[in-house]
Amino acid sequence: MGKMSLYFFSAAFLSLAASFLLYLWYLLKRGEGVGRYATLVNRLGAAFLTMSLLFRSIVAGRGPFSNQYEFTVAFAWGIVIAYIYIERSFQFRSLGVFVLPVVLGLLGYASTVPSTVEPLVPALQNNLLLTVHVSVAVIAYGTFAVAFAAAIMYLCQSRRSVNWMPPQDKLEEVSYRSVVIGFPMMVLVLVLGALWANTAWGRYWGWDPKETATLVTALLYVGYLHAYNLRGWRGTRSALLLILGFVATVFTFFGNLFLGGLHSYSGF
Amino acid sequence: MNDSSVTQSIISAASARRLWRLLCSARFALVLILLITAACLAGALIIQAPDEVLRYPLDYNRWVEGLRPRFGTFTVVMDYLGLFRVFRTWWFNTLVGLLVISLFVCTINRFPALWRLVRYRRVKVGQSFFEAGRYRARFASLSISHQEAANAAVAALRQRHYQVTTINEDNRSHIYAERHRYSRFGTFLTHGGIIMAIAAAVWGNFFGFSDNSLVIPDDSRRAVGHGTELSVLNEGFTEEDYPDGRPRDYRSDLVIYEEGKEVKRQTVRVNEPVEYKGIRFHQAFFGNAAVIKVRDTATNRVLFEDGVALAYRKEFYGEARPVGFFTLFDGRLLVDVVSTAQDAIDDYIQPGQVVIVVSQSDNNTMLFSQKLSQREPFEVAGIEFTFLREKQFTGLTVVKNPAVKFIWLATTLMVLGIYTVLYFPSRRIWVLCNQSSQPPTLFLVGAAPRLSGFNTEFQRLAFALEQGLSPSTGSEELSLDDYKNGEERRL
Ligand code: HEM
Repeated sequence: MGKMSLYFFSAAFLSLAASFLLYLWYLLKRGEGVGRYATLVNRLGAAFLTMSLLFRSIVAGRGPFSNQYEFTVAFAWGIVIAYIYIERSFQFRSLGVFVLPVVLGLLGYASTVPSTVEPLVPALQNNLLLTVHVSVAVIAYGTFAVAFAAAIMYLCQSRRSVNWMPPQDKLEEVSYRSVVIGFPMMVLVLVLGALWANTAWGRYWGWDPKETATLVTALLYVGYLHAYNLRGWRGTRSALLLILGFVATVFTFFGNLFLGGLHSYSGF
Repeated sequence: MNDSSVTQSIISAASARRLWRLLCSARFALVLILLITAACLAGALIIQAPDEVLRYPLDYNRWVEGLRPRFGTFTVVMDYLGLFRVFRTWWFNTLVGLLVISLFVCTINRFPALWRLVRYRRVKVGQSFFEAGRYRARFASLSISHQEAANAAVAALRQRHYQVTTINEDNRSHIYAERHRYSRFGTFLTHGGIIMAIAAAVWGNFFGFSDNSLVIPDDSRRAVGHGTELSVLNEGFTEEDYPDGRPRDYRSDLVIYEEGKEVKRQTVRVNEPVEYKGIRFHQAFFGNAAVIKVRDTATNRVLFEDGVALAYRKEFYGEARPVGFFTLFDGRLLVDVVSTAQDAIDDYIQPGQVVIVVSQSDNNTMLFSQKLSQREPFEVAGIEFTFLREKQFTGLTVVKNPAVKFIWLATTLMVLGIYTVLYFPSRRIWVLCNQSSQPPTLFLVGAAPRLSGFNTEFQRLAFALEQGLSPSTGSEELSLDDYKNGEERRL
């Protein structure tokens, strides 16, 4: 079973890398046929990644959300799922060229960290809350990655319109729609986290570095949503906020590597 | 009133209005949100003084001194700016206060306009209305009557879950359709929820307490304090490990007494606190305890016999060592119990030994100190001290926060508001079927928040309508892209 999970991981890695190349080809050559293959291979990769996580959950007997390896693969999965949704609803394939490098980077990183299944320390043994808290977070972060990719494209796309990229207003809409899906989930993550902290540690909020980093991420997107009402902040500045937001997301996600605090729980 | 006071009041009215406008402005809100974000970022990146250090200025100063090797000369500046206790500085609290005021003012200010907007449900609108909208379409040369066209439109709208109102006239039909009419009020839930959550947090800080210093050795009972009549008996702390040595479970069997009577008993784990009358006890930490017995040799009276939780760390004999304490003679004598250092090989206090340090409480003068080995009594001035054995203690966090219910209520409102606004954006559509215009035409115009995904929805509606209006053209290859928003198309 554990082996199966790793085989599926490799299959996912290869398919997603192949789909990246196909998307690139599609972008440069504008071949609809290639585009369809890119989408197909990308979805195959998503299916493999899902299988990999499923097998891992079966082995561990819980959601795959408890060490760096599992978090990273889950993060990559969230991005792929959010991307598939956005690609479908906007018929927007060139975005893949900008999203997949993030996914491949994460999977590459995941293959360098130990992937052994480890038992849970006491603070993490609240299975249902942990599972919901992290799965919602993974989807939210996935949509932020998609918004980030569209923001990068927005900045690459000058006003004079680079013809192999979609127009700016479409890119702006894709970013906004992604954030609109992800932001409410992000807020839910904060609230669920507070609920959990309240039972585990007796306080719903404690300015613990990881909590605070999550709040910073959420506030950047609050800023983005409010910039929406200001003419002067549309376009470039909003795109920059989205890039900052994703930097904060990655920072929050990998925060336990270098932030202290209760999220790296140790008894005394 | 003389001239100058009139001018004065005009000026102050003008500046009050300016202040009001500032507080309502979206730009001010954005700047405020980004400043708070930056402050939180600083608080996440820079090490923050823990609560127990912040309790006494002296401790805090010593703690800051300890950071000097890391931050060098910047330490003083950073301390001056409050960067080691961001969330307690006056400037952070001011920013949050301004946010609350701004949210409040902005809500009051926007409410009437939003109310009017939501109430505005004119079915009959003039022709020019259909030429100004951002989302619009026009189907000219209708081959069917205006009523049939209107029926087709109503069917298409109903199928998309719109609520539809129709007015038919002799040669024209007006249709008004809407979805998620009240969703714009979601913003009020969101902002109101935030105000309520912050208010509840402040209230909870005033009327609740959180104490993480309740340490109870196994088989000992301790009073909770904080104005309660509660005490807690620890019937035993258990630590279980996985075979590889990583912790698996920490639990304490607790019994709660109120005014000396048992009222509740429960096993408490990290994620399973016990609650009694709004006071919760959480498993927080654990450690070793030493059981000490003190006897008056003359009268054979036992002055003290209990576990002493070695829950603190203090420097003794050049090492940081676990320390606990108890008092004798109604608090006049203070006895510190010092145990072996855990992180280093301790060549002064070996495992199985403790040192007692006895001092006078009022003037803090040390009377004597003595190393004790297990079960070897030591007598001084008719008093005998014995270190009986080692055991464990459990460390509990005791919390009372009457505002927590309101926090959950507030965050629920906030989450509901956010989902309402962002997942169910409001949409309105007006249709005019005009038989008397040349040629007979159906006009369509839509309104929705910017970027809310209305584009696609409107295009699909227009496409469906096109099919419904002239089924014969259905065979023609039509692509949705022909309806760029705002673009018109003739049939
Ligand atoms: C941390 C604080 C805040 C949070 C979490 C927050 C959250 C939100 C959310 C989720 C929306 C809905 C997004 C949208 O409709 O585009 C929104 C809209 C809005 N917010 Fe805030 N907000 C905050 C502070 C403020 C402040 C201080 C102001 C006022 C000065 C403000 C003014 C507005 C306005 C005018 C809208 C647009 C409402 C609309 O278009 O119907 N917000 N806010």
